[in-house]
Amino acid sequence: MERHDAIIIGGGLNGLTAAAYLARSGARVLLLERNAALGGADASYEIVPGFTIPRYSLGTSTLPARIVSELDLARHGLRFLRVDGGVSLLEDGGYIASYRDGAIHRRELARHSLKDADGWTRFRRDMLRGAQQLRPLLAGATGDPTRRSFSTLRRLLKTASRWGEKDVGELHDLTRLWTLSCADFLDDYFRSDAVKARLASDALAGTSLGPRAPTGARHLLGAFIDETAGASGGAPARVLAIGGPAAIARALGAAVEAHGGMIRTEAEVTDVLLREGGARGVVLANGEEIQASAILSDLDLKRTFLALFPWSALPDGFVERVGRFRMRGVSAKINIALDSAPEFQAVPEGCPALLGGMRLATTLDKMDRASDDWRDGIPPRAPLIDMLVPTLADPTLAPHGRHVLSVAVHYVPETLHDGVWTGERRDELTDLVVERIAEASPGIRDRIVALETLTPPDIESEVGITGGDLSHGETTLDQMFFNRPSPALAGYETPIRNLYLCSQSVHPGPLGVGNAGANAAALVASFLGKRG
Amino acid sequence: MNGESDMALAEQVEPGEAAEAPDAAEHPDLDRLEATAEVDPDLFAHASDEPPFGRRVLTTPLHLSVAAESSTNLWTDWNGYTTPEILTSLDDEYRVLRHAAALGDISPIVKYRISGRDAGAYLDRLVTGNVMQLSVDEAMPVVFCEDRGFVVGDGHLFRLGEGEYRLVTEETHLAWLLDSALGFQVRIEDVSATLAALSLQGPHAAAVLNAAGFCEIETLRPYGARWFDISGMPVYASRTGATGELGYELWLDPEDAPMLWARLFDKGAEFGIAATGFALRELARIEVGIPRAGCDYLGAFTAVDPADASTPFELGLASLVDLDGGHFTGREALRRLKQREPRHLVVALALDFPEPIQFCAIERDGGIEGIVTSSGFSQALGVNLALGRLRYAASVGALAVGVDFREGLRVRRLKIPARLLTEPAIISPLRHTVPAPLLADY
Amino acid sequence: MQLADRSFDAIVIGGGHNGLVAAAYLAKAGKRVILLEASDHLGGAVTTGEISPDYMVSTAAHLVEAMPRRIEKDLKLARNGLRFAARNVSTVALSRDKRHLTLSSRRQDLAALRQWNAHDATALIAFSDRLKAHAAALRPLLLASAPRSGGASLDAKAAFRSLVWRARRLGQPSLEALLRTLPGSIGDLVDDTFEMPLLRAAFAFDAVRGAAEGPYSPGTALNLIYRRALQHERKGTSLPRGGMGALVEALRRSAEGFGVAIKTGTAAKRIIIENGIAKGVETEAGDFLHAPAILSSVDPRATMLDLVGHAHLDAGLASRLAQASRRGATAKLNLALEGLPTIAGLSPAEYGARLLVLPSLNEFDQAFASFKRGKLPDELAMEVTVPSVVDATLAPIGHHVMSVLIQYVPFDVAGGWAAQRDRLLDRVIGTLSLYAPDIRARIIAGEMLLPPDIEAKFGLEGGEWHGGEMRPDQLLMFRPAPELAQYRTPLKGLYLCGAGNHPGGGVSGRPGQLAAELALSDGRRA
Repeated sequence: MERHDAIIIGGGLNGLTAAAYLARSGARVLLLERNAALGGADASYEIVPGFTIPRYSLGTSTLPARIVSELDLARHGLRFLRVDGGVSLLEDGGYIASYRDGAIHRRELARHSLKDADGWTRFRRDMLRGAQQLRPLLAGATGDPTRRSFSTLRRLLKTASRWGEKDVGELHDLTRLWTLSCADFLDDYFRSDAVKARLASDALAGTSLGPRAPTGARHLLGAFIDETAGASGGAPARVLAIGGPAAIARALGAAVEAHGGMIRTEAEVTDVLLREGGARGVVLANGEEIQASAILSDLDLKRTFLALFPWSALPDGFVERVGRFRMRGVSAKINIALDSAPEFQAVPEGCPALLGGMRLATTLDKMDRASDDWRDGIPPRAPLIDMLVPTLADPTLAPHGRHVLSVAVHYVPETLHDGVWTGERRDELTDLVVERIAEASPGIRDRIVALETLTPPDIESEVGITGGDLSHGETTLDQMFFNRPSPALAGYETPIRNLYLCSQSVHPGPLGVGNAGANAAALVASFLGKRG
Repeated sequence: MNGESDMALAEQVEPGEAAEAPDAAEHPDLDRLEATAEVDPDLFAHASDEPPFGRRVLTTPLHLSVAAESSTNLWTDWNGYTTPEILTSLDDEYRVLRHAAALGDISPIVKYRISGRDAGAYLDRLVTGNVMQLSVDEAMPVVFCEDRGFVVGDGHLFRLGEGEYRLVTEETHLAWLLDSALGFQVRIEDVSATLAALSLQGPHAAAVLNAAGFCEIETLRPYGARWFDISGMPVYASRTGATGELGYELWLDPEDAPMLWARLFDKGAEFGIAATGFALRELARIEVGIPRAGCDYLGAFTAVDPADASTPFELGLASLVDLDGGHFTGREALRRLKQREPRHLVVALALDFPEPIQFCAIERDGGIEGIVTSSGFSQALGVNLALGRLRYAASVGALAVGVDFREGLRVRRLKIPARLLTEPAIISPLRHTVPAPLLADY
Repeated sequence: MQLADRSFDAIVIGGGHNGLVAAAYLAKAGKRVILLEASDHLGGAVTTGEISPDYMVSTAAHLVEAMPRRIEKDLKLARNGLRFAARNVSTVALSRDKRHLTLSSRRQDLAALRQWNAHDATALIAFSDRLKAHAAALRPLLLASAPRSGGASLDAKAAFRSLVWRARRLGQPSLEALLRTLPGSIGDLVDDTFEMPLLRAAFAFDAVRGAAEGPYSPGTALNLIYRRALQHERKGTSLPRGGMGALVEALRRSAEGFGVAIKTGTAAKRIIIENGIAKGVETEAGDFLHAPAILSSVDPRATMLDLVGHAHLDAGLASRLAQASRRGATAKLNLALEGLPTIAGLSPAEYGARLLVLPSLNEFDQAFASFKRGKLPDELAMEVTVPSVVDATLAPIGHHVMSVLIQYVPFDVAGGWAAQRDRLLDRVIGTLSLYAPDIRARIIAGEMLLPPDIEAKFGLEGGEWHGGEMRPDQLLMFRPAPELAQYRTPLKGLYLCGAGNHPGGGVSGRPGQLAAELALSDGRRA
């Protein structure tokens, strides 16, 4: 029987990151991926020959800079482009864009409100402050605050002291950032509805929260978490991997193999082998058994425990707790191949921000309604639609002069209140979205060479993520940090000895994809090291 | 234009108060809550609908006039406007400033018109100084803080009339000005684009203006200001300017500005007038020791690290803070801060070194204690002058500035001894003279 | 009495229950105190009114839930006439299928529940215990003035550290639950805990009652814990004999007994500030009153922005106060009834309970969505009391009064209240009829107070009952703003003592008591 130091189940970006770090530390590593392509939710495909497009994600995934440099991914062919942050269309036929350059961004805001151009200064300051406070929490386990150890108590008391010593104004700012809704928070800085809708939709796209839901404001930090976000006075840059997110997976795969790790695709794990309460290996769909000292699961929490184990092997009450972890898809994906570049009437020619993506017109009210509809299981009537034309920044993804259009449709429920997603309902959604796109880009229908829609259940069945939830669990605060997925599991260990979690279901979740893999790998490497 | 504009915000007052306002009839627009844009997009407007990625830097109304004087074709970006760095040579321009009359286009500076029944009370609460003492046709240097006592910005405040003021600053502050306007009947407009500004500085400045038709300009006291009619052009002249010289700043309609520029050249030729650029403006303020927002200090809303924000005491602006007058934003915080040691100081340094230097570290006993934020070589003194931020505890004793130089493809690091200056390096005696001299014998 | 140019030890502005509590405590300590109330009667929204002659009911707030027994004792409220018609009022969630659910930990109630749904009976015991433990962990924070942090005083450090100790004492499972509960929504919490829709809705209602958040809004689970922590001081909900006005009447007698001069119909026009120090109060009538301590129990925003004025405040503080969220979400309906309406399935003893009329959680969430968009909710959630069942002083013999709190009624409604008022009334009566079919026939008179009416009648901005929404950025050391959080203000001598201050609304009297104690200790130090 084959034997390895560590087996990683699932070849998403976190699994690949974990495998690369472990291989780099000298462990004998085997990564098993069910599908033919690596990348999990970030895999690409050819929608028609020659047109490459991210199949499930919009195509804006990236990796934290520390991981790129520690794994030397540039040597494995990974390159990033930094472009302006994108454009939102407005209902009145106008648009609002995000520019990296401070002076240009200021003037863009001033087109909508001169006051807001100044409001940006303080907003940017507070975002960068918030991101600075958040960043150190991402590169490691949170620790289990419920543990009854002396060291936990000491750590918590120290934290309490540190917080108590903070200036009350600073504490208040933090409390506002972490508890307010996007709309309430933005009201403190901005007056223009266009500016507020632009920032709120940037923040909340891909989450279940509406702009008026408390605790949504913290998502505004999203783009500022990147360490270089403060480099210019303008909006944070959109970072795009050349070749799309699949190129990140390829580079990580190359790094795994360069360090002697092995990768097997089309190798579905169906069971985890247990002995004496610990995981000893895995069983593949074809019946093959492979042993390892450590198993890392890049599958989501529910799939890991509810699909790979007999429930009787799990502690009392554990299955129920896993069941309570909320995973509900929020996004559908529409992939389109175009025979020429899409044109958007509202946006002036040559606008560099188009490279960073395009969002169709929305308002805070519409987003709020869409979010409510999502919770009620109603297909969105006015969904939030994000588009990216990856071929604008990277023409190699399609034949010369042709393009691919990647469309993410947000606030799309996974389960419908009155039934299931049928082909017919999928077509209705497609028609609605294409209609909306055509309003902004009238000639688009005639340019479509191919089109494919994936609803959350489609994503679930292909990628295996429960609920088709690309963030591996809702990102509300009761499921973040030490609550992701629970205090006892947030440290990457599980009740099953030798089994570790490394997906976005564990801290820090989608805050810097790859962090969970890197953090879990560091822990496993130290265990493997101790065992010699 | 999209969205609402907030060039002006009227008052937020309790219902009923607006109706009772005694002078509401005189200021009918005060009662309007909606804002109006007062920008001519054909001029050098912020709020044009032109996509901002197109023209990265805008031009001032004096651009063609200034360009005609440029023999270097050396330009820089000042607040988003094309501004000459150096027009002829810094040495020549410096001589003009100290011995004749230096003319500069300062239109990119930020200007706000603040008017209305409560304008005075509003400004008195905004800035740390006592605005109630400011007379009509008078200016004062001001600094304004947020609640915690950290400086938001600084500049000059002009009182144009009973309920009309102009605030001139280096950076834009509309958001803070409007947020502070709550509860006051006041109207705030960004008039940066609708007001051109010229600076005429040097011992012959009064003589040039006199020749150009500014009658009795010599009687204007420092920080005094007055309207003049120059061949039908209304020009507001103030005896202000951050150069340490006798000098004036002229405020007028953008359309008239090129004409006044030409006239000053015409009438000022015999007094040695010459156009000067941004580099000279910087050098002059460094010689006087005036810190510039965004360069020598960061405004409270810009500083990402709270430690980078400054109190007025740390900027050497304690004289602008009146803790015993009426209430102003940050007063309680500044009362407390005054009892405490400042964390850092903005200091002026003299370096005996002949070459220009860039940003570099201030060191003491080998440790880095601060940073040089601006510097320039003073011809008059033959030394490099620098402004920098220094840790307070390090502001005594022997300092040095570590400078990296490129020599071919090598880096050479020099440690240059630095002297702390406690007085402005240069202040012309004419700065305070009244009447100002009208003859060219300086 | 002529007020002109009189000096006092303390002036209390506003004769709500907190103002009365503050004045009474100050006078009890021997201070000469004057209390100014703008309207003709004391109590604000804590009052008893006449629906029609001989039918009396608590006009707005209708239960005493959070006033600590200690205040009752200190101020000798019993001796001053306060009697309770009922203590430990239980809660009954009404069901349309006549199988009502009594929410209590009494053995017979639990046994009944166990027969109905054994899972939920077990879950309810665990949930109640946990809620109690969580509330107890939070409680010490509410007993004292909000902790201060930063600068010279570091009592936040001590408070936070003691929270860590208390959290540890909870034990691992309970702490784990708390950590998940704190930022979560009540909807998710009850969905995870209970199977019965009625039980889910009952707890969700209690968490969001009076708040402008939905059952699935993150952070609403904390509301329930916070409320329980406040209620813990009282050990049960009570109905004062004579309605809520009787509580205020007892406070008035107590205050006057201690020597407080109470002036109704006397509005403060401004607080006189000299060089950053509050010196006195000018009344609308033009009188000048002077005192070294001025305590305002009116809304902190009105106190600071209107009575003190922007010119005396820092701009940041003023704009934060102006922005503070005030979204009223609750309306009140008071009915005079001929005879007791028949609610099938309700035992006679339970007519005196707090009755909850609840839609499903999903409908409740949709009601919130309607509220957000300025529309009338389709399904109503209500808290109903029939105080005359236990208090014969409120209505003629055989007749009754009913007091109904209606949740998720927006301040501004699409179409305007002039057109929508009757529709809402119809909907309320229609919903009540589902449980008590004979109610419509028994109505003699009624009054409905919509959020705008509550604003107009009681001066509660936005029709919001708590003097500022109870949400994390407006609680504890942030209530009503970080600079004003410990009852002191940046203006020496001026204190805030209303519900807008820690620990907030809910007829607790604590802001009044704590502010008075602070002013007294400042006075001793001076």
